[in-house]
Amino acid sequence: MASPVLPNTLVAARAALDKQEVSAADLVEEALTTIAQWEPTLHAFLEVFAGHARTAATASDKQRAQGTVLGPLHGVPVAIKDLICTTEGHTTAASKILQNFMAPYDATVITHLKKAGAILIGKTNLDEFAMGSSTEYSAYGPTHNPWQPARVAGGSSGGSAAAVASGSVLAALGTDTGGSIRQPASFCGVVGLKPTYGRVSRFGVIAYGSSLDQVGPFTRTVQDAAIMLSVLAGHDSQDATSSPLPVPAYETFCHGSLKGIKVGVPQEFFAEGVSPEVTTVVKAAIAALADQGATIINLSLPLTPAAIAVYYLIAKAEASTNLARFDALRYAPVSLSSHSLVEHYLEVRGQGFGAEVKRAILMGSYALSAGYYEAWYQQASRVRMLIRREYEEAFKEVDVVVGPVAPETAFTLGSKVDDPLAMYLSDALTVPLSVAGLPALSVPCGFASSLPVGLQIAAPHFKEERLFHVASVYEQAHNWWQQPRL
Amino acid sequence: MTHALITTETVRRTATLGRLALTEAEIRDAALKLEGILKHFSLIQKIDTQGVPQASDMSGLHNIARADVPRSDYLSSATRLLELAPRVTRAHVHVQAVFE
Repeated sequence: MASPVLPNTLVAARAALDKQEVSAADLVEEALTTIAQWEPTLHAFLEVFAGHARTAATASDKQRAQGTVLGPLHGVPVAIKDLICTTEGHTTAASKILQNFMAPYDATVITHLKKAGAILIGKTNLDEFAMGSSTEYSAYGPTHNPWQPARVAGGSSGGSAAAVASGSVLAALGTDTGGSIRQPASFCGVVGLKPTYGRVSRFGVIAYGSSLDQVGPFTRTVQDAAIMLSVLAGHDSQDATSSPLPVPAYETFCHGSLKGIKVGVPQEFFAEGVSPEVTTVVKAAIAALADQGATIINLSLPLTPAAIAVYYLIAKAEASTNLARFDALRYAPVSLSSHSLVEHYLEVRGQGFGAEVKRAILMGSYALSAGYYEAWYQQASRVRMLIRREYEEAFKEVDVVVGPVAPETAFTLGSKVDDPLAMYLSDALTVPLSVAGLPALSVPCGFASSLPVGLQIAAPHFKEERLFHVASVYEQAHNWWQQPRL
Repeated sequence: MTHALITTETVRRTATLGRLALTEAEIRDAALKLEGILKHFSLIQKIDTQGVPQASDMSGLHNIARADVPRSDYLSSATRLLELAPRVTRAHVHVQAVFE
């Protein structure tokens, strides 16, 4: 019997499964085969749940045969960033300090995925504790870009982006604190969504910056991202900062026209530091939005250059407190020579954390310490409020704000890893939205020197439906999705 | 010459606060890199924030505390927790002694 033609989007998979043209077992086998083909090149995964996925696929197909379809992801394999707790396998945060940690519970987003019928296929690589923009700070080695393996996949959710871009999975979860979904989505040529802060539960997600972290999906299409957010979003009593606002049927916004939509273009998103070829591609995409009926309105958001400082001071301060809980007593393979508890902490944390995590602890502890707190943390927090107000004013004039996701395309492995400021500056265009808590999405909008470029679209708080509307109308007319080849 | 924002001594003190043992090479490297980063970040010092409150919430959220009752769906049995521990000795999680 010939192999079935396998679907390449969630929408197509759902239809094919419903018509029994494919089975969950087919999708899982295809995913495992593709992962095996790409892994020697990419290193997108830290752990693959082959046995679990096959068993779950069999159960899923049996349920379907009996007339039970759990939800829109019934029988679909999904990859999970290894920052999110799963009862399957390990949860390491790509750190040696959690090398042997196995979570006793699922994060709420994992519970939602399972209730919707998804099958967990494995855990993906990331920068250690999600701190980084290239996945090079993973304690287990970097993820490579499927378009050009000598280049980074972006980060921190580089493994999830590469897994979707390579065709290994149709959807993956990432987390975005300052751009960790949008930037790798842009670098790998897939759709990546950071929801509004509070839209998706953070329960069971290992914390980086608690006032910034959000879980979101990577997919091949905008409509698939809408399906994923409908599954993931909603209030969770386990997360006191999750929103009780109702979850719209996001998929229903993925059509229509852009007539009447006001699109804001901040001049600061095209300032010095943004590569000319990225500017050209993104400006062509903005012109395409105008061709489709949108009204383009030039804006100025003068605090944009300050967002990097605000973001990193706040994120690292929050990280330094969040990381205080890791004592390496149970899960890290370290040998000790210490004779007191404090000596133990100093020694194991010095051994167990990588360079960027140590830098985060130092910078965060410095910004929070007596004598420096007012000048750094407190000032950053006040400027954060001003950035929020700047966007509130902008959204009185426009429906969405657009620009590049990143100042450049995927950079060469090793080119920034020893220059943290250069690495931080690769987040210059994603962090302004992060510090303001806004939802933003990266949709592929072309190629520069054979590397993907993403268009960033941002909306007011809890208006993700606008992102799906604008991005899907653009995508339907200008579908830049392509499958990289090995 | 401009005043250094961060010195090796500051790194040493901060590392102790953050419970990190660093080598001398790591301390020198951290001082150098953090100095460059903080110099770039000092642009926020020039922004007038007089009368601006610190950001506490960005998207109109308010903490919603759940009822203070145990939830059995998140509780694992002792057996399950021990199964998940890397090392177990006589029904206890085994950790390396930190006191002589």
